[in-house]
Amino acid sequence: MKWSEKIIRILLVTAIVVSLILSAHIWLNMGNQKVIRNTSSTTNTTQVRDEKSLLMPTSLYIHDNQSVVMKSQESVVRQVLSKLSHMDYSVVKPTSETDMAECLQQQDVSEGIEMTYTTDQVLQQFINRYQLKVKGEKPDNFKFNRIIINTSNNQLTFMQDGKQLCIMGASDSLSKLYDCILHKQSNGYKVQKLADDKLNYGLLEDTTMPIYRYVLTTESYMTFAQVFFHSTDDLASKDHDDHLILTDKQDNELMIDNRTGTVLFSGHMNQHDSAKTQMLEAMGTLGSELGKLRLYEMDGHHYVFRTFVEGFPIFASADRCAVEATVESSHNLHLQTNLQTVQVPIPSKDTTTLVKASTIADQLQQAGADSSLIQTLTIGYEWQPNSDSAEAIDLVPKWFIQDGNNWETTDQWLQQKGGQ
Amino acid sequence: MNYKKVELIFLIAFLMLNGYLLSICKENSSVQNMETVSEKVNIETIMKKGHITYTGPLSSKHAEGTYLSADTTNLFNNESTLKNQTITNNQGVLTSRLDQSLWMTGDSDELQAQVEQFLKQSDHIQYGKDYRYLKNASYNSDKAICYAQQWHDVPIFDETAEIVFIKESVGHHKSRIIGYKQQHITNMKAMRDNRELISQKEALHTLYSNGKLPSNSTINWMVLGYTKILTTDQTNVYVPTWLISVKTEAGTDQVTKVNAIMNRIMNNNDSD
Repeated sequence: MKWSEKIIRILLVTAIVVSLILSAHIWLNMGNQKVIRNTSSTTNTTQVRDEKSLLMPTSLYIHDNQSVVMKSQESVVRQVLSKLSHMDYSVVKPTSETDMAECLQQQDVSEGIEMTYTTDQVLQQFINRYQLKVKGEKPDNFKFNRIIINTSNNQLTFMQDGKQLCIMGASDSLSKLYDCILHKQSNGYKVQKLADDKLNYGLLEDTTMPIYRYVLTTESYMTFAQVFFHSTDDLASKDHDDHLILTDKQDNELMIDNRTGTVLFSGHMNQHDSAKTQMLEAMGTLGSELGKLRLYEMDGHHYVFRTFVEGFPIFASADRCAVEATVESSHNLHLQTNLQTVQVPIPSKDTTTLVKASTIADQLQQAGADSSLIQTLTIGYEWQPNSDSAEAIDLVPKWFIQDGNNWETTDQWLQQKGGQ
Repeated sequence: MNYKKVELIFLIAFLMLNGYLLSICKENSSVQNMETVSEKVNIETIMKKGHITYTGPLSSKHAEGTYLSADTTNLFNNESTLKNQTITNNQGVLTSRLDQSLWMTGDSDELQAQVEQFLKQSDHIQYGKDYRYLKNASYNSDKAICYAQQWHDVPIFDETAEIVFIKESVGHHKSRIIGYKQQHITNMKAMRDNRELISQKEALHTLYSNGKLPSNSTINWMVLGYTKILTTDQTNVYVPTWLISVKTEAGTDQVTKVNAIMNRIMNNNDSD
């Protein structure tokens, strides 16, 4: 074989290999295109809601000697978290198997602040998110759902109810933080433990609470398209009866139900970043369009974020004021929400009285509810149509109970139970 | 065709294919670079490149605020207490024509001091102590001096809570106030818990993204205030708003409002 023939053959093989490498590179990059559009280049700029806000505790209680007051408004929780992040901590007692008695003992503080989550959180992620400076060995994979700030011994305790504890000593005095929150002007409600052996709180006495009124806002479907798609220039649209379907070249799909206003998005996420991070990024980009969203439920890779009003979650049908997010192992993301939301408040002097927790607990027990149901008893705001105007809605405070995957008012639950 | 020729044709074909694939790779990489750049571009860079000028400091600080509600005051219930002026009701706006004008011969500071003295006298004006000088609304105006009510030191930048003194220039360096138009609100209340508002820089970014901050323009002033968003049953609702006055290259002044809670440009029909 001549030298020229050898060179041609080597060049041909090299060219084939290079073409294969380039093809693979292009193909992989196409799959990695980001689903979520960069907010800085959108014309409808939204205020991005970061992880610190989306994953903030759902309730906050202030222990003031014998009384406990609930103040879960976002500004209060935000202030506590912000002040905590400016201190140094040393791990006093790392994770250990513990029992309910020890948990209750930790919770029994005369002066302090307690914050709770409705879902388990990873301590390491919490420390990173709020930039807590912790010396000493941090327990691996420690999960918690309760944070207790005890001003008498200057300790910060992370607790997974009845399972494990991680106690940290704070370098600065926590009492300053406590005083600041104690005197912050915001509505608070007196609470007490739901039962002696429970860690959860309910109203201490029958309490009058405001009914909130809002202008009913229907977001344009383009608001969601701009948030979810990389580009809205080449979207294909199909009208199917009462559904509008938008798709892009990467087969991401947005479906709007024109009757109910339900919004369904299915999209691909890139393989590099964690699926949860990308899901939170998508949620954050929705920003203030859907109000003050906080993570409220989590089951495996299924997350439910709810809009909060004055520190209480809103419960509504057809995914209004909520976003359900499902992350599949194949890095597919499904989001479900609604075009209808609340943004602009309307003055209202209406109030309603909620009965105290013990009354509700008694009613539920008499109807045959088991104690685990009573543990999920919570106050929330129910979305109700306004009787005077179709352009307004009322948010009415109610007791809610979680039965399976559904949240129902205790009235509805008792009616169903009574009918059985 | 012999084997050598086939090899040569394949080699040329693959080289062309590789050239095409390389061009696609290069295009993708430049798109990614553009995205990275757009993520990092801040408003200062945009302004510098677009020759947009602003003399004041730009802040990234997030103030707190919330929706406010307030009732409209009926100023005509006590109009008889007002002396030395003729009062008319102009669709709910109290319009006063002073019997004796307030004369001024000095600079704007002296004029402001005289007006503030006038505001303190309850037989001249109602609720005068509730108002503060609104420098930006009086900006570049030789016809009016504006005063506004406040909520926690943030002005209610809305005619429903303003007094506008009507000024007339008389000769050189001499002017007089001949009357005023007044509206007032009472029973101001925060409707919801405070929330973090968008920063000054974010407001400018929103303005730019919506084409309201053209190249070679000048930002005259920008201020955080409350503006009315709706009225129901004699009660007004106000929202924290960034008000930004921009002078374009053509010389026109325009004030644009950015909703500081929702980070959206407010159209004129957003407030009724």
